[in-house]
Formats: sequence, C-alpha cells, structure tokens
Amino acid sequence: MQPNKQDVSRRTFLASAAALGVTCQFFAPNAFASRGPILKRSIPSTGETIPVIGMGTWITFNVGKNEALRAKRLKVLQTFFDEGGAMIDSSPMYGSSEEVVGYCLRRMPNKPSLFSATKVWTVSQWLGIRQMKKSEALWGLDRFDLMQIHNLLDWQAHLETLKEWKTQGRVRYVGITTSHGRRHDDVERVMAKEPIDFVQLTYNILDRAAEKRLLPAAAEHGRAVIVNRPFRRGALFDRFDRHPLPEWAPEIDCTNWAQFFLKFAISHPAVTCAIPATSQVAHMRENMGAAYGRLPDAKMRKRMITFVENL
Amino acid sequence: MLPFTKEVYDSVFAQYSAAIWPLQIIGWLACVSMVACIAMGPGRTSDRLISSTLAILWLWIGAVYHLQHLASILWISDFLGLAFVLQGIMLLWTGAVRNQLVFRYLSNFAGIFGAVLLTVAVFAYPIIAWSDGRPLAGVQFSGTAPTPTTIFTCAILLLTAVRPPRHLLAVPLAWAIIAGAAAWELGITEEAIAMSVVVVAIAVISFKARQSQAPTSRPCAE
Ligand SMILES: NC(=O)c1ccc[n+]([C@@H]2O[C@H](COP(=O)([O-])OP(=O)(O)OC[C@H]3O[C@@H](n4cnc5c(N)ncnc54)[C@H](OP(=O)(O)O)[C@@H]3O)[C@@H](O)[C@H]2O)c1
Repeated sequence: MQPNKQDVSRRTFLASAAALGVTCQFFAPNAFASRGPILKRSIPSTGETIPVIGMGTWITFNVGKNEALRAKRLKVLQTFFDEGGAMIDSSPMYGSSEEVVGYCLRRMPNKPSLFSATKVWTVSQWLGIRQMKKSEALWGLDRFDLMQIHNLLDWQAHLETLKEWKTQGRVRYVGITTSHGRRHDDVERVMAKEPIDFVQLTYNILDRAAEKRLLPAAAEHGRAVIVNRPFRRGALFDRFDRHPLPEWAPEIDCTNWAQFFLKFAISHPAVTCAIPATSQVAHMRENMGAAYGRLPDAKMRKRMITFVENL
Repeated sequence: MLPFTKEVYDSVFAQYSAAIWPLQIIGWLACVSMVACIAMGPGRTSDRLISSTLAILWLWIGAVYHLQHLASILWISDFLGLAFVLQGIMLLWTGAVRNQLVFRYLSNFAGIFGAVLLTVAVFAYPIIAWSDGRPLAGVQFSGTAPTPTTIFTCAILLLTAVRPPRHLLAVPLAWAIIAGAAAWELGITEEAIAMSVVVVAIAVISFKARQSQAPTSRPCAE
C-alpha cells in the first residue's frame, strides 16, 4: 500500500476510529453487500488499518519459471485482491516466490491495494541491504510497506539498516518474525526494547503457545501481530476436514473449516491479521470469507477449542 | 521441510532437461564408456580417464543443474552446487593428477555390490522413468542428473583396487542424505530407497578402507 494523499486522509480518519479495533472497508473493490464490509484491524503504531486476512507465499508461490503454474498463481492473487485482500507476505528464503509475486503483480489489470511484506534473511548488514534491494526489484516496487527480519537472523545488524530506511521513508514498517514457538524469549525482548511495528508468529487453534507471553506482550508494547501457519501448514485439514463443522458454526459466519480456523486466529484481540497460504482459487475464496461477518468472542473461542480437542 | 511441491520439482527438472538436450545422451554415453573401461581391465591411462570424466560430470551438475536451475526454487542449491563443483575438483586432483584411483572389478562383496549399483544407475534408472511415460528429455540419466550420477559414482568407488581417499565420500554422502530426505518428503519412494542404498554403499567403501591396509597410491603390481 503505497500511500497517496487520499490514502493518508483516509488513514488519519480510520486511525481516529481505530479504538473500535476492527473497522470497515469503505472502498472495497467489489460489493459485498450480502456479507457486510471486510474486517480490518489497525496497526498500533500508526492507526492505519489492514484487512484481517492476508496471504502467505511459502511453497505455494515457489513455482519457478513454469508459465502454466505462474498463470494459476496469477488467478489466485487476482482472487485475493478481488475479495478485498491486501497483505502479501514473502521471503528470500522461499525460492522463486518473490519473483513469482512480482511477475503476477506486473500482470494485474487494476493496480491492487497491495500491502507488501517481505523479509531479510541473511547474515551481515551489507548482505542484508543487497538482499532487500533485490527483493524490491523482484517485486517491482520502490519500497516495501513492511520489512521483517526473518527468524531474527542477525537482527541487530538489519534493524540498524531498517531504522535508517524507515527514517528516510524507504520502508514504512519494520518487523520481526518467528515460527513454531521458537525463540520466544528473544522475540519478547526485541518487542519490548526496539521500535518495531510488527511481530509475526505461529498461532492456530492447536498451537497456542503465543497466548502465554507473546500476544500479551505485543498488545502491551503496541505491536501489530501477523499470524503465520494458521492451518499448521495444512495439517489442521488433514486432521479435522473429515468431521462436520459444529452446528453452531453459522453463529460466527463460518461455512467451512478454513473459516473456522482463521476466525479463531484473528479473533484474538492482540492479532492484527493472519496470512494463510494457498495455491488454489477455491481455497483463496474460502480463506477470504473469514474476513467477513461475525468473529467469535472469548466464550465462543473456548467453545471452538473444546470442540476440536474432542474430535 | 522443502519449499516446493513435487509438481514444481518435476517441472524444474524438465526445464533443465529441455535446456541441455541432447547432452544427457552424451553424459550417459560417457558413463557407459567408463563401465566399458573397467570391464576391459587394468590400465593406467583408463584410470585417469575415468576419474577425469567423472570429475567433469560432477562439475557440470554443480555448475548447471544446481546453480542455474534448482537454485531458482531452493536456496540451499547455491551451496549444493559449490559442493558438487568441489567434488569435481577433488576427483580431478585425486584421480587425474595424483592417480590415486585404481578401478578394478573384483568378485568380492564390494565388487558385486558395485556392479549391481552400476547397472541400476546406468540402465535401470532411465528405463524405469521412460516406461513410466516420461519423454526421453525428461528422464534422469547418469551423467547429467545428480541422483543417478551419485549412485554411479559410489558404484565406481566400490570398484577400486585400493581404498579411495575418504574425502571423495563426503559430498556423495551429503547429497544422498539430502536427496533421500527430500525424495521421502515428496513421496518419491524409489529415489528415497536408492539414496539409502547409496549410504550403505558409502559405508561399505569405508569398511573396505578400514579392512585394507593397502596404501592409497597405485599398488606395486601396477
Ligand atoms: N518464520 C516465518 O517468517 C514464517 C514461518 C512460517 C510461515 N510464514 C508465512 O506464513 C504463511 C502461512 O504459513 P504456511 O504456508 O506455512 O501454512 P498455512 O497457511 O498454515 O497452510 C498452508 C496449507 O494449507 C492449505 N490450505 C490453504 N487454504 C486451504 C483451504 N481453504 N482448504 C484446504 N486447505 C487449504 C494449503 O494447500 P493448498 O495450496 O492446496 O490450498 C497449504 O498446504 C507462509 O506462507 C509464510 O508466508 C512465515
């Protein structure tokens, strides 16, 4: 999301409404009258709002030079934007994913409402700068909305660069990432001490370790939270897909398991958005459906956990 | 945890194959020639020739397959490519320059094991893939594809009169473990089994080395 004047004034207005936590999208690309406006959450450091569902690219967008597979991913990405999505998350670690995202973005008929998020994943400040510049070129962007330090690798070195880049306007937000419950102590320490905007971590209905310290710490220090692995890399479907949804699923506007899992993740008060990855248009539609309608409250969240744990 | 699916892996291999066609036939013929050299019996020149040819194949796979093709979907391929290039250089140095590799078929366990592996690498691998309906250009041939070439190399190293220096085993072992684990994750069971057999072959080569007190240089009888 490269800001223009209109965006800024809209953002300023939304920031003042951000106390609501979840806000509505005014200019959705399509009309979603039947299911209401897309759910958005505000980034604590600025009040800018982003849709609660983004998109990951690990494995799914690493299709190399294969034109047929690239064409399929283009449709997935188009569906993502058509359904109101904005944040795309990638990393130089994901093979050709950044190149494929860039390839797709260049072929989008309408300039999408992109919120670009990638990572720096290397050692040393010098290599980090080279890598971030390469990512900009691969995506075809002048700057990223969010640059994250992947799994905290050499984070001190990269944070120094990113602080400077943020001051110069070369990047809008800075973040750190972790996954599978690794290095929670370090993440907590960085969140407390450093001026980062985002933290990315693993959180899903079965992996809830982040609830103990990281999510409360993010709320306390005013960091936006991106949830990775919301489907446990697809394992949640392997385990629960053969079971029917609970009969009370319509109470939280869920029509499939994907929405059930995603609504669980994004309904934690400290979570800003989740970034499920998919290679399929039908799955993208299901996933984006979680960004509409009612979200579970604390009581319902407990009921969801009890339900899946007893399956 | 691999960052790609089997579909993508196959497509990268198909692109590599299409890009180098018909070099895979030349690589395969080079492997057949090496087998013929060993079958024809001892010869100082043929030992150096076998080492040099094998070295060129490792250099090719490192520089072209890993660094130019697989690296586009797998970051670790940059390192794998360099490892394959290093293996090529080590084969050149040990075999062609220092003449420390003496190839000989001996009808003991290592010899028979080596002969079976050679047959698998040179003939069974392409035939199975071809009968599976792949176009000739998409078949993994020894000489240009890393997995059958690793099997072929270990087979050749089983067919040595004196122990091959251990440094020649490190890269094949690393590749067998990495490729075996990757094949298992992608559900390519036959390749995972083949890579496990390579690990056993490397263990046999090392065992052979421990048993034999022969020097690593060419024996006096030569
Ligand atoms: N340390 C880090 O920075 C870090 C670590 C992990 C992940 N991440 C980020 O987080 C993103 C998400 O995590 P992830 O990709 O590991 O796992 P995930 O999003 O939990 O799961 C992805 C899997 O779920 C399947 N899926 C998606 N939607 C589905 C649906 N509606 N129905 C059935 N199956 C569905 C996908 O298969 P299909 O393709 O068939 O839909 C895919 O196999 C990553 O892509 C990456 O961008 C970052």
